[in-house]
Amino acid sequence: MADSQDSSDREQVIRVDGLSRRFKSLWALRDVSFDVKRGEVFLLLGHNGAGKTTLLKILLGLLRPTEGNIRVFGLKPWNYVEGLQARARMGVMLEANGLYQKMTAWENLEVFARIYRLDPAAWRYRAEELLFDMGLLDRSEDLVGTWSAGMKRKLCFLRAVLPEPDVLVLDEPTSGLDAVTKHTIRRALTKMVAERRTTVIAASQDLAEAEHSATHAALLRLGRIVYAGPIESLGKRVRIMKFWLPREMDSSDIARCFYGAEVSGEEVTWQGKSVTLRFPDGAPVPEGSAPELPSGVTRVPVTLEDLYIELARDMGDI
Amino acid sequence: MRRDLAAMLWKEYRQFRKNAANEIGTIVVIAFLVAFLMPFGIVRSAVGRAVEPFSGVLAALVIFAAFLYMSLVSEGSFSDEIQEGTMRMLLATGIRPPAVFVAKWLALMARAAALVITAAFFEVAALAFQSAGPVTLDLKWLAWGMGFAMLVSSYTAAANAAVSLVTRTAMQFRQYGTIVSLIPLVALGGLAHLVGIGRGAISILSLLLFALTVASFFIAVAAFRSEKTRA
Repeated sequence: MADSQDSSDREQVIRVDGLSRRFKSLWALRDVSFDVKRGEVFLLLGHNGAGKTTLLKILLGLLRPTEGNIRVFGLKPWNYVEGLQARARMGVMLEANGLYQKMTAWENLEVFARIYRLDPAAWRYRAEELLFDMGLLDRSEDLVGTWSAGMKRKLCFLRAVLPEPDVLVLDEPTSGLDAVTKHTIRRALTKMVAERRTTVIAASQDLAEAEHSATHAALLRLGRIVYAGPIESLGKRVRIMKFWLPREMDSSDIARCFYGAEVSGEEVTWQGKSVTLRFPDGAPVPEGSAPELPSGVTRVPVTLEDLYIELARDMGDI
Repeated sequence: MRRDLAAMLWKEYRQFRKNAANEIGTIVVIAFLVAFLMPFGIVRSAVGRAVEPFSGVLAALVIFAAFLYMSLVSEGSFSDEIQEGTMRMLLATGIRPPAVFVAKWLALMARAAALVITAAFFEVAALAFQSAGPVTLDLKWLAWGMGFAMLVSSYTAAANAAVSLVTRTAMQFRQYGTIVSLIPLVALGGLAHLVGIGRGAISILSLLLFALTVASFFIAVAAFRSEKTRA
């Protein structure tokens, strides 16, 4: 028992315990607690202003908590010496790119390679590979100031993963990126997590993208944690089913298949030809499709975005 | 700390190289202007004899050139980095914040040294060109002027860099930067006038400038620990 406890502590990378942060009279974070273990891809969800970026800044030691504790590898990020040790093991991609506009991509990478004390031959080889994967190699000798917003974002990601960190802190990593680049980033992340068991903590509004790689999530609302845990458990908590309907079908027909009677507006939501059925607490959510499901109706998987919207609805935000 | 400093010095060097034409051009223009600001009437009357007061003018002009140049190039030295988000990015890594400040200060001091040497050279050249005859120059005064100019640069660079960390934006910097760098120097000038320029006065002024430079370093370290700079 003691051994398994020790092993669990060793695996724990980030521990947030009763964390609060106040800006004048506004509580940006209030009594936030969760743990992130090694190899987890932990997603911070929440509306704009929910406190996600504040939490990441506290994690990086850029802001000091008002109350509570936060530890990364057992180190306090705000403490000068411990913060330096913790940050040396973290790769960072902030919401603002923070690139030197009058330097080339190689020079931008070299600044950080020198800060992280990477072996010159090794980081150059790795950087060339990553620049190629991201489609940036041809422009790597151009000044970054002449690049598009998407290219700069890609370079930021590359800079974050270059030191092969133990923890990757990402703030809106895929904002402004095209689908192919998102796919490339996702592939690189998945590889890092699989090969090095890198821990990732990310704040993102791109739920469709985050769904592919996230293993755990915390939902923040007005600075408080509404949910924190595995993504699968989030799916169990939200009791919905989703279907695509043929063009000619009335969506209330399908609702009747499940509810067996006329349904109220609160239980069914239509969006184009998609219908979401909501099941009340206590009522079992059918596992498969209903036997009497009209032909042409297809059950579609519930996405992370659907779950997020449902949680927001539960909280009265919609 | 040494490796952090080396990394930051490399960054400063690359930034200088990107802007080398402008940087060198500014040094040459300021040195040239200051050299031709010299009161040449005195030079002409001084042909054929040693002119110690005139050597003092040379020293004063080098000091003035250094102050003018340092005020220009250190303006908002960190404001740009804070506004572009590069400062936050640096602080989000494991780098020691004092290394960021010291590298910036050393880079400014390297520029100051280039300016001081160029200005002194231009002054002597202008003097030779304008005097149309032999002028015996007391180089001790010029050497003193160059040394004191480096001290003035040291304080101006450190004070302006510290102020740009505290004020964060170029607009705010303009409100406070000039005051912070100019008032102590005017006060020192007044003090020098009161006590008279002698070896003792120069020592006191140098010590005061050194103390002000060190104070600026402490202000910068405090600023780096503040959330206002970090976040």
